[in-house]
Amino acid sequence: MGRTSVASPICSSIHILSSNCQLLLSRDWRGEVPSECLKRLIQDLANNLENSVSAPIVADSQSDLRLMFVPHNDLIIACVAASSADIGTVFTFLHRLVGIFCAYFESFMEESVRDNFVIIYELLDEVVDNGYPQLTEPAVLGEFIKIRAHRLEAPSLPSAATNTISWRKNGIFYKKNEVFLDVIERCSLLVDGNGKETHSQLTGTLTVRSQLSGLPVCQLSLNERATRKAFDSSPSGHGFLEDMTFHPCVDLATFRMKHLLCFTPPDGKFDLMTYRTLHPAKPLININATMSSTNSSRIEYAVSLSTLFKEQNIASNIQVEIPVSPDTTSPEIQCSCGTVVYDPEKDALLWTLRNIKGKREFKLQAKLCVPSTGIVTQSPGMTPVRVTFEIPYNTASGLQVKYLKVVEKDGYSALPWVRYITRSNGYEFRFRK
Amino acid sequence: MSSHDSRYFSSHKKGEIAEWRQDLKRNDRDLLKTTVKRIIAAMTVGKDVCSLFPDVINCMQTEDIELKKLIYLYSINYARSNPDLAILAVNTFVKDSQDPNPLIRALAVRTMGCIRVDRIVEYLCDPLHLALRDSDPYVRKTAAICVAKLYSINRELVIDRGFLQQLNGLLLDDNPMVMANSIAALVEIQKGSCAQIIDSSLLSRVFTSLEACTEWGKVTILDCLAAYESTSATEAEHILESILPKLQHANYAVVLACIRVILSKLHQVQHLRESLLQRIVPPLITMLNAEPEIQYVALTSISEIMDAFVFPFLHSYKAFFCKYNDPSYVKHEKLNILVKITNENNVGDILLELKEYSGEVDIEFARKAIRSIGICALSVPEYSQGCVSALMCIIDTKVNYAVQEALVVLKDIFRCYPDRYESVISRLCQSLVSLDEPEAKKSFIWILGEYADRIENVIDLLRTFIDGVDDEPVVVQLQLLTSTVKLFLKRPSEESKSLVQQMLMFATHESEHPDLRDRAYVYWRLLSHGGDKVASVVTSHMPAPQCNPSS
Repeated sequence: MGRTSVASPICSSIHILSSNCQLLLSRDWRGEVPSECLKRLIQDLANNLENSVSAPIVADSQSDLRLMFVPHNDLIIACVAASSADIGTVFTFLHRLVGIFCAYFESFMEESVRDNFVIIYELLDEVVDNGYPQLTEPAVLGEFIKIRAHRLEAPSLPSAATNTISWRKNGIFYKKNEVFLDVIERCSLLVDGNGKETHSQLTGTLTVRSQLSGLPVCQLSLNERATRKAFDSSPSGHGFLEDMTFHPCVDLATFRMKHLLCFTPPDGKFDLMTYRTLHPAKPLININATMSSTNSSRIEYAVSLSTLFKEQNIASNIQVEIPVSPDTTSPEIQCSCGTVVYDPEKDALLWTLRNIKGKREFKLQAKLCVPSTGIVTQSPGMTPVRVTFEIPYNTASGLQVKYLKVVEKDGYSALPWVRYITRSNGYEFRFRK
Repeated sequence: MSSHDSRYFSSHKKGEIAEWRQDLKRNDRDLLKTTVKRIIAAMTVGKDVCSLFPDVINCMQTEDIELKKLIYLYSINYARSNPDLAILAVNTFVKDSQDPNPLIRALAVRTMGCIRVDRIVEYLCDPLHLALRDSDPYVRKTAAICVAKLYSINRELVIDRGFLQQLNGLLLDDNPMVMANSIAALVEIQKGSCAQIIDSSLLSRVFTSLEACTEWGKVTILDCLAAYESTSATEAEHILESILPKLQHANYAVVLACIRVILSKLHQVQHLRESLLQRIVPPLITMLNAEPEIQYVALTSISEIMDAFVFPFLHSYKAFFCKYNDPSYVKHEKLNILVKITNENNVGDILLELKEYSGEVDIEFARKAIRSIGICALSVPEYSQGCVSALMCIIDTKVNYAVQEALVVLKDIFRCYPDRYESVISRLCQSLVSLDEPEAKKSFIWILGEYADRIENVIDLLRTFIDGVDDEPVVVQLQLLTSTVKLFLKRPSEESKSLVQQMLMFATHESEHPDLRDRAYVYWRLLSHGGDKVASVVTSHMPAPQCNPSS
């Protein structure tokens, strides 16, 4: 954090590489990276990947340059920059770049780089100039850099490219004006071998899909509990949202004063707000997994899953992944509900349940044979039992939308739709001791 | 939807360059475009298509903007190797810089700046002057950056032709992107100092810019504010007040830059220190849910802040527990932080986690976790018992590398807390597997020498090492020599005496290592003198190891 030089350009050049470090495409802006240095950096990167060293920064041994990269599908998106470039800005930018490419090409992979190299060059030209990030809104870029192979008219510059409201173009029109708001919460939980919660966290996103004409202003009000902490700067404040971040379209001053989110939405889908709480009230699902071996070649697993959320709610698409020793044979499985399959690829039992109500309990028992010749290199049971699920119509945090209003000078009426869903995001339980 | 450009990469046959040259001369627009795409494709895969330079430049005057962009891209890559021919392109550039379409005007100025050929630079000045005054902000923002490009090629020219004044004027532009780029260009020209951009009188203007600017421009301005030395505490407070809302920006780069400003002004606003530090914690912790690279940035930042202030993070220590599927570089950083954050209140929870990590599949990480347990024992003396039991559990697993690592750690704990945990030594000796790492061997041999009087079969254990001494690395040989002498002093007997003699003979006659030989002679002389003095020299206590969490 303590850098002395300020505001250096974030990159000298950007390179797109295949997963085996073959250079697919490069764009150099500043001419600061000698080709032998780039070769060295890519060689070092390849060595790192081979030795499964995953650090996202590779420093050059003979100069001040560094290569920073983000893997995506079968690609590596890398940039080379002087060591004075701020890595926070670099990585934020690289992820944004991946986002832009993903918005352009349905799947951004080696194949699509070859198929679209002309457009990628064009995009890079708009997104960075001389190492400084420029326009990074995919929606606006899409206005004047189009994928069409044959473009007859010369494209003209959309005014949004340099507008103060750079995220929305003029003259959008919909026959039916609608705005969809999804409140999505993701819970993570880690329970240790003594049944104690070691870590639990909840993050939430308000995702908006707007299909509104003109330049509307939306007003969104959340329940009191949600907004309290945002104004209470004392650390002991008991509000439950620990941290909130907003899309640049949100007027922060109004939010401070009136506890109201006012914004002119970009067209289409975007994340309006994200938030985080450190201590969600209770775990939603609990799992008690034990493992015992009767003799050296036989292991018994007993797993019980209990739903701790309200009885009227329903969790769906539940999958429990129970790791087992590699090379197990002849599994004997019994469970009170759902289906279980043994997946030798993952070395795990996959227990799937479609829909389950709150305050219920389900059990699974499995007996497996392991080759007794097996050398115990690793004490088993280190991988935790993982569960994925989602609970619709519910927020684990208790956040609720009071109202969502759309105001536009043409005075059309718009329909607001609000949905809630809670999903798991790393629910892990270690085997009980 | 994709445009299937991959076909341009195929069909590389001999004589293709000559064929392309012919195609470029034909007056067929579609063919021309296809050919230029093929040439760019060849350039992309690293083929040298430099020889086509004059032919490609000849096609530059075209109405087709896609084709124009491609030819410009080509010229950026090859102009430097053809400075004489690059002049041919100048006319088109100058003409394009007056095109009615702002996209083309900007494209021309941007490309000219990228062609770092001295002779072209002269021709760039006039178009650049015009572009800086252009009615379209898109052209102005491109021109602002171009001044910085020009400065890196020919600084006298920039100063003589008054570009700096023009650039300074753009700082007042009402367009956010123009403003952001002017700031970036000025900062680059002033080699990272922001003296001309920010002084006390300009502050209010800077705050207005900060609000209006693009997100990337915000980062630049915030970095300038962080470097700006505020003249008084009131001013610092004022700056902080204005930037604090940016902590809630959705762009992590903005948030991090905002944190840098806060940290840079902290020494001037002592009375606000605690509350400010509390404010920066939640956004940093939030970043631990972002992409792994962002997590890494957040973790290294937290780690650095912790070197000065640990307290704001104390109640969030659980956020640094590793997730099962975290990439290893994130896990390592988290571990560094866990070690720094350990205190008597949280050591219990952290120790349980560390013990869990010691069994991870990632061996490097597991080792580091075991070392971390040792550091906890040294930094929180009240809990050293807990750490020792954790280490003993690890040793009981008999997993080879884990045992060896634990052994090294235990040695340090023994040194730090003499006469407290020696009771575990016999259990230790029973669980030993084959040691193959020098550091672990050294530690074990040290323990044997130090506690020779409490370990029953110490002579047998040492003898096995001595029998294979000539295969050992020097560090182990040195330790073996010292420990054997200690053994003799603590348990004088015929057996131990013969071991010492064997060791001394080896060190003085067979070894070629000067350190080992010298040390052996010193011991030899000391021993031949005899008396109590020898014991006080050889078996004196070593100073306790320093606890250094960062290593």
